[in-house]
Parts: sequence; C-alpha cells; structure tokens
Amino acid sequence: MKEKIKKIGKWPSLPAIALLAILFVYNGVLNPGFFKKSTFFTFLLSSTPMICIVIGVCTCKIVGGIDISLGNLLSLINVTMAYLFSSSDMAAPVIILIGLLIGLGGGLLNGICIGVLRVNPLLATFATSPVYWGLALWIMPTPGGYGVPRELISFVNKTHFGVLPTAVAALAILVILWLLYMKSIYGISIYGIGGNEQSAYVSGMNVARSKVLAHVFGGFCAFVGGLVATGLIASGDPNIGTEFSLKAVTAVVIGGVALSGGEGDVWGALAGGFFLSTILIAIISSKVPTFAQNFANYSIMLCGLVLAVVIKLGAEYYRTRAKKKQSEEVRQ
Amino acid sequence: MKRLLCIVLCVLMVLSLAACGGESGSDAKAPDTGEAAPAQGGGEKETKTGGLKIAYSIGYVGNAWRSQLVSSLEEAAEAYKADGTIAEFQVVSADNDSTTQISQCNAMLAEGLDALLICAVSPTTLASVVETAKEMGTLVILSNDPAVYEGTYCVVNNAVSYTSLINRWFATKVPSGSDIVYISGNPGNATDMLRDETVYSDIEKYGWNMIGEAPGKRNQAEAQTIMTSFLSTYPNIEGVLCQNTTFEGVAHAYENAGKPMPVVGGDSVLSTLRLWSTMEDYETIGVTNSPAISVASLHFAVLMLQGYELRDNVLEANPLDASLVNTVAVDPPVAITIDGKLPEDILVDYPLLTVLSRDEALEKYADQEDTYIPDASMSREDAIKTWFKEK
Amino acid sequence: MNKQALAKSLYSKLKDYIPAAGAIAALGLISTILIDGFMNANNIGAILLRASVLAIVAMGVTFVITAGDSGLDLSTGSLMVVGAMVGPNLRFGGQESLILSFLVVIVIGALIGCVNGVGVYYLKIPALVMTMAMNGLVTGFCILLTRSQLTVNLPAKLVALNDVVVEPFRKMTLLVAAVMILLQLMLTKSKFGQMLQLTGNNRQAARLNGIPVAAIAVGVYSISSAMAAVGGVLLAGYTGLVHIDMTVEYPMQAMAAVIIGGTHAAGGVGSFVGSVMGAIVLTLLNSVLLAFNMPAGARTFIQGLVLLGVLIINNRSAKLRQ
Repeated sequence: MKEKIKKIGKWPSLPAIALLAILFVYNGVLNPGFFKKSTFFTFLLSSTPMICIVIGVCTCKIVGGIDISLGNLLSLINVTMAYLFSSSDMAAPVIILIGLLIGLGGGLLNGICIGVLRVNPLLATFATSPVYWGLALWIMPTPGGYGVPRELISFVNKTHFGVLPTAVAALAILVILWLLYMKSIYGISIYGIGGNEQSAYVSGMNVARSKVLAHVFGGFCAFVGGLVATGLIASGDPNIGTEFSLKAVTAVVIGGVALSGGEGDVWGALAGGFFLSTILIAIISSKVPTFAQNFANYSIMLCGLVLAVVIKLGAEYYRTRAKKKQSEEVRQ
Repeated sequence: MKRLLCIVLCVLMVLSLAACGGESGSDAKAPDTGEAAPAQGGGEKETKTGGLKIAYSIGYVGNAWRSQLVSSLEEAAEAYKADGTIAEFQVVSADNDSTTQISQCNAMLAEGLDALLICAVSPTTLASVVETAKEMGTLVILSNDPAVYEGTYCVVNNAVSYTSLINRWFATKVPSGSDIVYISGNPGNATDMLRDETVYSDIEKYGWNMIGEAPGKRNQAEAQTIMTSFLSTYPNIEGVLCQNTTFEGVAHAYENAGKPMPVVGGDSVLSTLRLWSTMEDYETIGVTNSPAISVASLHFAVLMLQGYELRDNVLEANPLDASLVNTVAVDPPVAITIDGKLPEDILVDYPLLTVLSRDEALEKYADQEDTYIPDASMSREDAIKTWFKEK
Repeated sequence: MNKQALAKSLYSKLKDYIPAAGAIAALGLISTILIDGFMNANNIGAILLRASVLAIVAMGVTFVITAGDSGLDLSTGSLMVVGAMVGPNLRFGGQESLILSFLVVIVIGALIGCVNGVGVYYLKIPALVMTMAMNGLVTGFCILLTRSQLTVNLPAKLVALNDVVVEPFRKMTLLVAAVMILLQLMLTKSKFGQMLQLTGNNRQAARLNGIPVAAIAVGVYSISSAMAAVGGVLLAGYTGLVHIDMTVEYPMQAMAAVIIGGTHAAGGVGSFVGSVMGAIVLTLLNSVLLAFNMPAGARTFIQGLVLLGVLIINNRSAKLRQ
C-alpha cells in the first residue's frame, strides 16, 4: 500500500490534477451554475480546440522537442474548410479530407525541419507558425465563411447518451490514440529519445522517424481541433488559434511534461489545459474588477507554473535523498 | 520547506482570487423591486423596473479606446446601481480569445442574467451563446462590433456617418482632382470594412485620385512607417485621409521628411489636439468614434428590459447583413475643428453633434492623459428620445 | 599563415552572417529596381531608425540566447512599455537628463528581468513559458496601474535623437551602432564575453572551470529586460507617444532578428552585429512588402518563409552519427 502511494506521489501529472481540482471546487462553490449540465458541457466544448493542441504539444515535448505552430495550423485548417464550404461545390467529406491533409502536411513540414533537417524545434516551429498564420490571413482576412453545413455544426454540438458531447468524444479519441501510440514500439522509443537522444540512436532507434511521426501526430491533433472549432463557431476565423500555441506549452509544463523530454504523460497536460481554461471562468466568478483581470489571469498562471515545478523539484529532492539513504543502509 | 511553499502558494492563489473579487459586484442579490416574475424562455418577457442583472463581455481591454469604453460604462452602471435599477453588473475581458469569450458568456448566463452585452472578439463565433441566451430568456445586445444573429440587437457606432463627416469636411478643403492617400484601419475588421466602402464611394463622389492606400491599424508607429513610405514613393501628395490614432504618425513622417503637411483628416485623440496646438493656423478635423457606445448599449438594454417600446422604423439594417434589421447606429458625438464651426449643410445632418473648437477642447480636457479621446456619453433621456416611445 | 588557412578562418567567422547580409543585399536590389523612390535618404533613414529600436531589443535577447540552455526572452514587449511609460517622463530637479533617465530605466528593467532569471534558472520553469507569463503579468500590471491611459512628456534631447547627423544616419541610429560595436568587442575580446560563450556552450564544463554560471544565467535576463526598457524609451522618442499596445510585435520580431543574424539557438555562439543585421533585414523586408501593397497575410507568410530559410541554412545541429 505504501508503495502504491509512493508511486502516485511520483506521478508527474499529479500537481496539475491537484491544481485543477482546487480551481474546480473554488469555482463550483462561487458559482454552482458552473456544474449545471449545459454550462459545463459548453465549457468543455469551447475548451476542446485548445486542448487538442495541448495533446499535440505534449507529444512533441516528450520527444524532447516542442511545437508552437499548432495553434496557427488549426486556424489555417478552420479557415480553409470554412472557405471551401461557403465558396465551392465540393462535397463535405472532401473538404474535411482537405483539412486533414493540411493538418498532416503542416505536421510533416515541422517534422521534417526538426527530425530530418535537424533545426532546433522551437525555432523551426517559431518560423512555420507565421507561415500557417499568414496563409490563413491570406485566404480569409476577415472572419467569415458562413457556409458550414448544419450537419457538421449539430454533430459537433451533439450529446451522445445524454452525457457525452461529441467534442469531448473527439478528445477521448485523441487520448486513446495517444495511449496506444505510446504503448507501441514507436511510442516507447519516443520516451527513450526524449530522455537521451544519443543513447537512443546508439541502441538502434530511428530517431528521425520518431520525431517526424510525433510532429505529424501534432498536425493530426490540430486537424481534430480545427474540425471541432469549425463546428463550434460555424464559420472561419484566421485568429481563432493564435493564442492556443503558447497557452498549450504552459499547460504542458504545468502538466509535468519535462522540457528535456522523456517524462510525463497526457493526463497532466489535459489537466493543465483545463486549469488554464478554468482560470478565466474563476475570474468571472470572483468578480475581479475589469482592469485587474489581465493581471489576475497571469498571476494565477504563474503561481500554477511555480507550484507545478516546485512540486516536481521537491519530488526529485526526496527521491535522491531516499536513494542516498538506501545506499548508505546497503553499505552498512 | 518546499512543501510549505507549495501550500502557501495554493492558499495565496485562492485568497487572491477571493480578495480581488471582493470589490465590484459583490452586493448581495438585491430583492427585486419591481414586477419580478423571472423572464420566460422564447417569447414574452416580463418587464422589471429594477434589480436587473447585467453583464458586458469585451474582447480585450489592452488599449486606451477600449479602456475608456469600460470606464464610461462602469460609470453609467454605477449611476444605475445607485438608484437600484441594476443590482449586479460585471465587465469581463476575454484576452482576445474567441473560444474563451464563448466559455465566459456561458458561465455568466448560467448565473442568470437579464441582459448580456457582448463586444465580440470575432462576429461569427457566438451562435451557441445566442442560443443559450434565448433559452434562458436573456436579452442579447451586440455592442460596438456588429454581428448577425436573429433575435439580438446591435448598438454600434455608425461607421458610415463617422467616415462621411470626415470626408465632407475634407471636401471643403481638398478640391476635386487632387491626389490623396488613404491610411485605413485594421484589415479584417467589420467596422473598418464599412469605413473603407464609404471612403471609396466618397472618393468617387468628390473626384479625388487615390494614389496610395495602406492599413494603419490605428497605430501611430505604423502610420508613420506608411506615410514615410508614401512620401518616398509619391512626390506630390495633396491630402491624407486617416483615422483615429494616426494623425501624429503622419505628422512625424512629414516632419522627418522636412516637407509641409497638406490637409490631413480624422483624428481626435487628445495627444493629437496637443500636437495640433503647436501648429498655429493649420486646419484639420477631429471626429470621435465614441468609446461611450457602451453606455448607449447599456441604456438600450435597460430601457428594453424596463418595457419601453421601440419607435417604428428606428431599427436599421445590420451593417454586415442587410436582410437583418436589428441595429441602432449612433452618430459621432464630438467633432473638433480649429474654430468650432462646421458648414451648415453638414450640421443639419448631425443633430446630436457637439462641435468644439480646438482650444475649447484642450481646456475642457486639460486634466486628461494624452491617450484620452474627447467623448460624450449618451444620456438616458437622449436614448429614450432617439429610440423609444415615451411611456 | 598561408592564404588558404587565412581564407578558411575568415570564412568560418563570417559564414553565419551570410544569410543576413544576403537578405539585405537582395532586398536593397529589389527595392531599388522595382520601387520608385524607395532608395532616398529620408526613407532609408526612417527604416534605419525603426531598425535601431528593434536592434536594441534584439541585442538584449542575444545575451539570453548566447548563454545557452534553450534560453530566450519573450517578455521584451512589456518591458518596452515600462521603459516608455517611465523614462521620458523623468525629470531630475526639474531638468531633463537623457543619461539619468536611461539609468533609471535600466535599473527597473534589470530588477524585473531578475524575476525571469530566477524562474528559469532556479525554478527550472522553461524560458518560453516563464517569459511569456511575465510578459502578460507586467502588461497586466501596467493596465491595472494606468487604465491604459498614458501621457508622455518627451524631453527635447530624446526627440533630438531623430535628427540627422549625416544622411541617412540619425543620432539614434549612430547611438545604437555604437552600442553594437561596444557589445561585439566585449563579446570577442573581454573576459566576460568569454565566460558568456563558455556558459552557453556547456554549463557543466563552465562550472568546473570556475565560471559563475548562476550569476551569468540569471544576469542575462536582467540585461535583456534592461535593454528592452531602453528600447522602449527610444520607441517613445521615435513615435512621440506611448500606448500600452504598441509593442505587441516586438518579442517575436526581436527573436527573429537574433536568429536571422546567425546567433546559434543552442548557445555558445552569438553575435551582436548579427542581431543588428537581423533587425535591419526584418524592418527592410516589412517596408518593401508594404511598398508592394501586399496584404497582411501575405507579408506574414513571406516573413515566416524567410525565417525558415535562414534556419535551414544556418541553424542545424550536428548529425547524431558524429
């Protein structure tokens, strides 16, 4: 039993989940309407696009890299689909397929620059980000594209079995895919590569391929997010995803995914993402004065970051102390 | 030690949220002072004379115009709170993220609102919010930035009359056949699209030649860059059409180039007026795109909730979709010319306009910061007079 | 030294500058040929002025990136606002003093930057996230303090920085050029410069060599914020006013300038001359694209491609095989 508790204590995702729980409880107490079915579902639904990006960034981070272009890739996908829906006669499945191809293509571009051409991941995606955003602005300078089909809108907003909005189901699918991927030989290699690239390479893992795949998966997450976003806002908006990239990185850090890679899992990232979404709601429930809202938002974000990191450092400290104690006992 | 730090930080976080929140809007839910039957969904609304719960969702507050919008709004709300008309009022900022705005609006609707005023981050993202509001019987007003949703109202500044006023004055100073340049606003903004359309049609009407055009994004530095570029490319510019928060950029560009400034039109921000006062007899016009549109929106919402009826034919076509007639557009409230005068034929079309002379304006707003925009909030009486039938 | 070895050493020193120099040459050529009147003293002078402001910020960020460990600084935008709000309004006993104003602003910037440094080095919060959060925090604080309403009384000497010294160079441009030369000399010739580069190259080795790595790792963030604050004062001098949202693009642009200028993202190899060149490339590119009347989306797209191109040419890590 003690072993089990110790194990949970070491779980890198724990701080993020704890933070999320605290904020949920706080919010629920101040505003019981938050947990009403329709409100909570809309909260989940409107957070879903960003959370998709969080999952994508989480994957890239575990490989020891990062991706800050996924938010703008999502915007590009959303804008392209909305544009095609309203200005062309293509069938809906074709348009959605095009969206998928854009997502995979963007992810592939990132992956090639990072995995094959060995450009620093932060800088590579720092460069591809304006490429995607610029394309999105070029295609649709103003939000518009009102031709999104009713079926897509209602599909995204629908609730299955009375309890599960489709959007959340999309998240669940991504998470399941992620778990399957990680358990597979490709996935395990990701952790190895993230932890130590040299030794992973030496032990025969195809580092370049794993990195490319990780970023393509990120692109796929952007596609899912873009599809949900299109159904959610029923139009195209070139700026819808601009804020998502940096927020996602913050969420992933809070979620305990180490910057150096090789550690952490998707649950912490999810918790971190929802934590960030809930902050802005909590600010409403707390009736923070308007001009202080910005400051409050970032303060809490920073507190969350510090907490998550400090807890992790603390855990490491206790672990090394316990190891020292063990080795001393062994010697005696 | 580290564990203690964690616990302290957690507690601090929670406390700071609670503490920050204490000040505004924490009045206990005041008992309804009027006929307080809660509004039924989808149709007939009961009227209330007081105890209203209203919220305003704004895309972001990070610039002077927006912050003035909020300041004027909060002032007007305080006045309503003082006489009990409004029981709870809140302004919420979405930090430029449209999905956050959706989430916030829903959270506020869940608390139960009589009216929700929205200054949208993006006009196309609010369909689900409007649906939810309708189900709950909450009145939805799109404030400042128009959007197209059945069953809502738009209270916006009249972009066409704002631009026309500047252009008409401009026409009295810049003859037909002149070469002019146009520094526009934000590409992709609904209001700016309307302004651009008006400028293009006026250019044809008054016979000017537009030799250059670029988006100034209502940013002085950007305007300065653009104007410098124009000055290099076009040797003879006879007039510059620009907008609020761009005049100084244009002026600096001319100063750095060592060229005399031709007629420039459109900016009323206080720092422009102050710069203008150093320019002796130079003539320009400042027209205000009113941040206090928020106040007009608030009056509109309160009056509707209180059961006032709209006058016939007061609603206009939505700027974004002419088939939806749900908009009231407010003309610019303040214009500033060097002598406080405008030609009669212009004044006749703008009955609610206050025209100030440059020196009058400088004196009136001497205590305000450079970024302040001379503005006038619509009063409740004017709102009734303009839009509603007397009760 | 024989000619071949000399040429080789020269090439290895200068090859990082090739993308930036090439870009400037290409843009200069395009604009002279295709755009009437682009190449006149006033226009170039204005472009250099704007590039000067960006250059100061970029040079500050260069310190952070050179110190290694994936350091970077996205909080420069908010520091510029702080500098612009405070610096120009300072008077000392009723008198304007440009030097004292700069000093005050540098101290304030350095203090704020310390928070970044502590968060990144001691708390191990990734620099990307820490500086981004600080950017929002400091901006939020400014909004809270001023309600976004600002007034600035520019000292005459600050405005005078816009004056021409020798066409097309203005005082501000020469000032920034002087800073660039000083910093580049410091980097290549002084002990501090050596320590900085060693820290960036390999922190463990640097520690073992007795280099005060902690002080440097935190200090570079202070320097970056201090220089950003100075950049804000210069921006106020150039535009004549201060708005809370006028520096939104600077953090990303400053980073881009440093990258284009050839500083290595992994640290250890940096160049202030490169960062200034990068700033010129970006400002020039923006002006050229504006003159071509390209829509905003196209301009952003092209800037991204340019950046990507530079990265692929310049910024690749060694093959794992080695």
